[in-house]
Amino acid sequence: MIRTLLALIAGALALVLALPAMLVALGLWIVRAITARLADAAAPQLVEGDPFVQFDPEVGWTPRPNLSTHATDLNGDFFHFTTDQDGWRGRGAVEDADVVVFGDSFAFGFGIDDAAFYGNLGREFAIKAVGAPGYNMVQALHWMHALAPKIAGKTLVWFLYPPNDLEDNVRPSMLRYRTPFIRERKGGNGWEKVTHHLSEEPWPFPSRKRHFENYVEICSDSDLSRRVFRASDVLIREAADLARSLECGLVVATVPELSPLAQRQLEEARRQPGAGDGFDASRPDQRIGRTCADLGIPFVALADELSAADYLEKDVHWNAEGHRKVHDVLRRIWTERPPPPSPAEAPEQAQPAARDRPMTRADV
Amino acid sequence: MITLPTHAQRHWVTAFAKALTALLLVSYAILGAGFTWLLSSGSPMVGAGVGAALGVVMSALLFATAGARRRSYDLWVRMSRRVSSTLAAYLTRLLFGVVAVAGLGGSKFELQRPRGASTNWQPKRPVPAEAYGSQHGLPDVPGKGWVRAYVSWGFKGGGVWILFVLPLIAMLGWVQTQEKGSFGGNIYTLY
Repeated sequence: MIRTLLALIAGALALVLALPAMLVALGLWIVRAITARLADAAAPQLVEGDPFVQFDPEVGWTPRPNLSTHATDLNGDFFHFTTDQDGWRGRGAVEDADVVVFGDSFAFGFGIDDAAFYGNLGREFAIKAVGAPGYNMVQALHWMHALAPKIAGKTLVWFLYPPNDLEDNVRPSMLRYRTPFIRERKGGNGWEKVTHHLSEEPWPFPSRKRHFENYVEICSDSDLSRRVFRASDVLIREAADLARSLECGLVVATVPELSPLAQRQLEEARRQPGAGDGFDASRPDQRIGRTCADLGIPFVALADELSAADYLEKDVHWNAEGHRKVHDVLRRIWTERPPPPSPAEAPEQAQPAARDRPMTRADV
Repeated sequence: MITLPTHAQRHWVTAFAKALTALLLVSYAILGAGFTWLLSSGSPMVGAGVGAALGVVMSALLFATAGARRRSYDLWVRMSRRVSSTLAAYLTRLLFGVVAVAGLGGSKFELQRPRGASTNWQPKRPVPAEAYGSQHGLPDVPGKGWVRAYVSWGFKGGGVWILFVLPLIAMLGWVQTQEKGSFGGNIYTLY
């Protein structure tokens, strides 16, 4: 009883003493409550999960056609995008475009609203983006072949994103998504394209490390580096041959990784024990640039055009200013109208897998 | 919860700017009306209008660009988290103060073996299976919240005095930041 009485008195006194604290908390709570209400009201209807992309037995996945929807970027920020009847972004159809861009999420315009997307800026010339998040170069090349009748005579621009495109070319999956890839035939007898493993089932093993550990290796003098650049040479050469046969101008443009988010991860990866010996961030540009020069393909290092300010704050993709600059680069390319690539020597192309045998670890 | 999410998406930042603009507008309008009324220097309505205009100008300065909005938001989050932890520490001290004062009235704990008894151990009745894991030996009723269980435990355990601590616990729960210090990694997902 005495305890209850003491607690009653002490509790009442404590409530009086707590009152100023509650008034301060009330002020903060009002701001929080109004902000949360407005944020909830502003959140658009999201399409995530399977509705965003669909399985494709030849190329792994494609963006769904006829979308007009919101998705979220890596920070969870919304962006609105639309796709045409074939699943591609950009105004008009592929056959009506002046410039056709191939590539991955940068070509797709991941993280940016339609209004600021490079493919929708300006009316001077028409740009079509044939790209999807997560695509490697094998998938981009697939679409060049598949759309050959529609892109003949046009200017083709191929966006390469070295931090993951190069390695994904030789891996059977992009994280858990099965992708077509290329591998060297045993005995050094050229390269072959592998697609027999494609299905909707998630790939059971992680194909590559999640952040930039392997990219550090690629930018260094390593076996992985030599292997992925040999693979990219094969793919670029094949694209050059195709462009020549279609009388298309082909430009290869490398997308630099300048976003603050990725820079932090890259620095962390470089600090790992044993990592970064002989690291040269410009190695991919130099190596791919040299290949393009050999094949007579104009090469653009977007590192010369973009800066960290052109990237989203908490995502590795471009912001509106970045898209505007990329559009300017495309306009310059379109104005110059590059000729078809000159004939190359000693072609080494990726052929379809000779037989549909199960892959082993040694293969990949 | 009185703090905003630390790792906020753009629409949260925009919503914060709008909320603070509205609050600045209203509070400056009230201040403006109050001053003109106190100083008898004109119509309170005019004072309210001038105050509201000042509020809008101030918010325009604060939230002029996306970068400024983000910086203001981050500043607010840092400030509110600091205030939140200070308030929580203050309320915790008050709470323990009440417990200490109640403790002056004696404890129910029997630390000595009763005279004539051979042991101080007592048989423990088994708790219901659904109460396993519960901190108070009673089943947690889903959707009923912790207050009901707390009050019930106070009455059954003979510690009615704990009811006078309840408001302080509730306040503590309100001002404490529930947000965990970690956020999802950079997992690149397609679907």
